[in-house]
Amino acid sequence: MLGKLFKYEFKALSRKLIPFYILVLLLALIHSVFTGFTQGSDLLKDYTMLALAYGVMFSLFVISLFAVSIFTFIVIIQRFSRNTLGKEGYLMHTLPVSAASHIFVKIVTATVFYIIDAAICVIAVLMLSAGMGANFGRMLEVAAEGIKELPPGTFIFVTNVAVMMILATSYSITSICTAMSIGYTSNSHKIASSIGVYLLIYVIHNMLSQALLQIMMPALAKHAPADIGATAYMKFMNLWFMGINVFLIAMIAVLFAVCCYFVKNKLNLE
Amino acid sequence: MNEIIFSCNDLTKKYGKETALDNISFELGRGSIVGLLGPNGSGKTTLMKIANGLLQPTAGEIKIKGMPVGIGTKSIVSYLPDCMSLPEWMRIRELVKFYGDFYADFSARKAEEMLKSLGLDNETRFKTLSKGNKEKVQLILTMSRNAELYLLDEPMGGVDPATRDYILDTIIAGYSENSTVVISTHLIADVEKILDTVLFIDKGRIVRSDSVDSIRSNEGKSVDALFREVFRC
Repeated sequence: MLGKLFKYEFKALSRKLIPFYILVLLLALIHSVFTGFTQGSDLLKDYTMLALAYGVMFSLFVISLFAVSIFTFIVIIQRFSRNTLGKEGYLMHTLPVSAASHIFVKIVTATVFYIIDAAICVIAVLMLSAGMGANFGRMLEVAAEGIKELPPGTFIFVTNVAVMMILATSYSITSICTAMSIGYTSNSHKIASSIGVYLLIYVIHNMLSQALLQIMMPALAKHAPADIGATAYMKFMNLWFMGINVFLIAMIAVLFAVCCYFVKNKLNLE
Repeated sequence: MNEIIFSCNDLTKKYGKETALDNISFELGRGSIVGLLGPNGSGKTTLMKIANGLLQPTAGEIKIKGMPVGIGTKSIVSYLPDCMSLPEWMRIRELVKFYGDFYADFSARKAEEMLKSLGLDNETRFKTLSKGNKEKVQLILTMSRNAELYLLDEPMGGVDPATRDYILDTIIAGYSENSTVVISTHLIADVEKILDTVLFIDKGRIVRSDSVDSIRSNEGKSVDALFREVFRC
């Protein structure tokens, strides 16, 4: 059943997000080709309209890069609101599937789409760089040489940072879903209530992370390297990021349990 | 009574200070069409929602085939809510596939035959259908399951008389002798002809439970006439 829920969740989000991804890549391609043609010539100086079009195109491209994550955010919230807490909830919550499965699928799918967002932005920037004549071969050579110079533990460090970014994204989505599942129990002002609960979660998160920092600081200080060598520093940073990741996993687990409780027991469908 | 398929034990539901269901208890056997009849705000929808796990009771419980409401009961109960719950963006073909994916007892063939008789194109998006056709598609999908219990909440609310007839025919076509259909409505005259048993609900209490035959022979009146008498304002 989980696989089927994933199938329909991906389908529902894809139909809105994929056209937007195509638009961003198309803008990047057009801009890249445009840049390729005009670079090294006086075309932009000689033709005002062309310069204006170039400027508009570049602005649209930059806006689209920022808009990707905003649009994804809106689509995810709208989907959760309609499908879990709105009228579609009458269908979804009468399927032979647990509330936990519903929430799990929503969080994982939304996280995956945020990762796709990031990938699309990277691809778009690379396309733009290609138009500007970037030498990717040379860039890769430099990167390969640089990697050789990196201290041991760098791979673990990069993995830790990547995991942290994914967990932080999942955490944000889980806190939004939890805030909405609590906020929607209100009979009126559901959105305002959800924002209120989200702010409360944010404050609690900050208080907990500060408290944890106070507790962990002495322990971390013990492991702090006496000499500031790169290897020792990398080990210290890895320990630090692992702590953050464990904290994020714990927070996601707590919020997930709260969200499931409200969706299962306090559902207040339209 | 045949094997008990639905039992409601001391069920109470309160919304703050308001009592929607007040300590109600009753049982339903297999193989009958039951009318859950009551005026607006009598607690019909609340009862339906609790039976489908969409609301949690304040006290008491509902058991379906001896099981508390949960994943187990959802796989044997086919529910028609009193609003449009199907995803508007899906095509009819996709909705049939959706039901087939999640319900082992769903018959795609049965659904396609009924949809064909309506003359609807499988590629039509649900959002482009008229209100009446949306109601029909939702009912067809609900009745195309070979469920043990059908819970239909206001299946004829807000549709024209011709559509009401179509809905009743669809309910009868989908119903099998081994299953039970509960129809919640206040449009008694329309459903009376297909009901075996009626439960009158008022202010969250079951005020009368009887067979339609018994009402007609003992009271000498139709269910509709009795309803008007019991719920006279």
